[in-house]
Amino acid sequence: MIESIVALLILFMIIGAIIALETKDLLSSVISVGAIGIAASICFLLVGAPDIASTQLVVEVLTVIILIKATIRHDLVTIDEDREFFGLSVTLALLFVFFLFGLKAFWALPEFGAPAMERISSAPSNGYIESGFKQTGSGNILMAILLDYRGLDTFAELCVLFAGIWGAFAIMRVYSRKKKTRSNNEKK
Amino acid sequence: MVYTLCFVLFVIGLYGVTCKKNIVKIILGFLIMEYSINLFLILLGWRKNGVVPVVEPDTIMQCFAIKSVDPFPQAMVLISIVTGLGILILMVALAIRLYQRYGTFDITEMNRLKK
Amino acid sequence: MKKNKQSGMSVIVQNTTRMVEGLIFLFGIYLTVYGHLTPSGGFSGGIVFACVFILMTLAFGKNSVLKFLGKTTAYIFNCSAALLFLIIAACGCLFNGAFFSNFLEKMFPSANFRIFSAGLIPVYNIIIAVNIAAGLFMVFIILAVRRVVEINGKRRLISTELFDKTERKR
Repeated sequence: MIESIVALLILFMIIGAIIALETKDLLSSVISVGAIGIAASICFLLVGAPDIASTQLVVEVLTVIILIKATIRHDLVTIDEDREFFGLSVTLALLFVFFLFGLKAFWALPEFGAPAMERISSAPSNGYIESGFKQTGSGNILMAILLDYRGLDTFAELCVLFAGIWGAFAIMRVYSRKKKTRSNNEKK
Repeated sequence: MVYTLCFVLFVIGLYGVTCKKNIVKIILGFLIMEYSINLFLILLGWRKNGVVPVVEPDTIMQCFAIKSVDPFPQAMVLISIVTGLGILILMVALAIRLYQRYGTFDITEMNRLKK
Repeated sequence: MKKNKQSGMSVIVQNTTRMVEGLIFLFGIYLTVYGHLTPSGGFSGGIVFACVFILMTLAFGKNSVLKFLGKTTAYIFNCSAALLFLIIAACGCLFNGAFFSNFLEKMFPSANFRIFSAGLIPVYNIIIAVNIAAGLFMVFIILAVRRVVEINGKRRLISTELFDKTERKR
């Protein structure tokens, strides 16, 4: 039951992805990617991860806002897609070969609904679930893992976010030149 | 079956990164790949008739340990989602700077307009 | 009628924002503080905080928010929250011999399922929320709040905050 609903939602995401990449209007493609994010959030909710669902939803909304405000403008010329034929066909053929080999790897995975912690009793997840509440005192096992058992990963993630933000700051700097005069037009 | 559909979504994102000329479409291809990977990791951890990994005042611990879904991929995906936001911020900053420098979002035009 | 874009959006959006922004802020605080009891946490709460400030910037124009949360203030919050995270994690080394050790839980064990339980986990949630909120709001100002400016005879769209130094040389 849940498997069929999740499969339908991923089919919706595939259609949305194809629409996002093929349409000529940039605003429509950005909003299609937003729809993909919302479908992913519903999938997370059905599979038992409500924490991830709310985080994915707000991150996707923020993504759409930043993309729309930063890249969509009125004087944008639409770009026609006549890429050279030989390069495009070779790339598509290589992608198809990659897809076929990837399918062979995916057939070796366990079936949907039987995670690895069922078969391997010494998996770390079993230890976290059994003794997470007693040792840390927090009801949310996910936060206990993120901030107590695996705190270094959270710290590294904060560092990566920090580096991303300051990298963007460094890219967008304007170096002023003192010799030439300039005038500011306040118009937007 | 569900994993195969996730992989199809990933390949569509890869097509967007390699075969498109507009920089904004390339950024959207990256986003599609990231959504598909996060979805695949969480779908790996689902247990049939499983419960959310949250302990409440009236849960029995033995029952909870048998029935809950895997919380470990969820922790890693939470980190991955926020890291993906950092990557998106850098990509958008680069795209804005390229537009200011060359006046277009087309990468083949940028090859021709190198000053 | 020429719409003055510096002052934000229309009257309907402004009135709705005035009614709703306090509730969204309260929801962000709820998501952050109850991170160790229900499925939520510092990440969701922090991004909701950033979205409140972005909403105010979009609806009322950039000058309404930049008065009390400019780039410098956001930068101070971002850096100090990250530093505080590192200092508290290193304190675990002093008390129990392991980085990130939950020393509050071991020293003062408290009743379960309260807000002030689970030791350091609520503290970390609040620090992460402040860090992410300040950082993402700063990113929004840098990337998306711009105006047209002339440099060397050509008109360019430049990020507002980074152009403040040259503006005073008029």
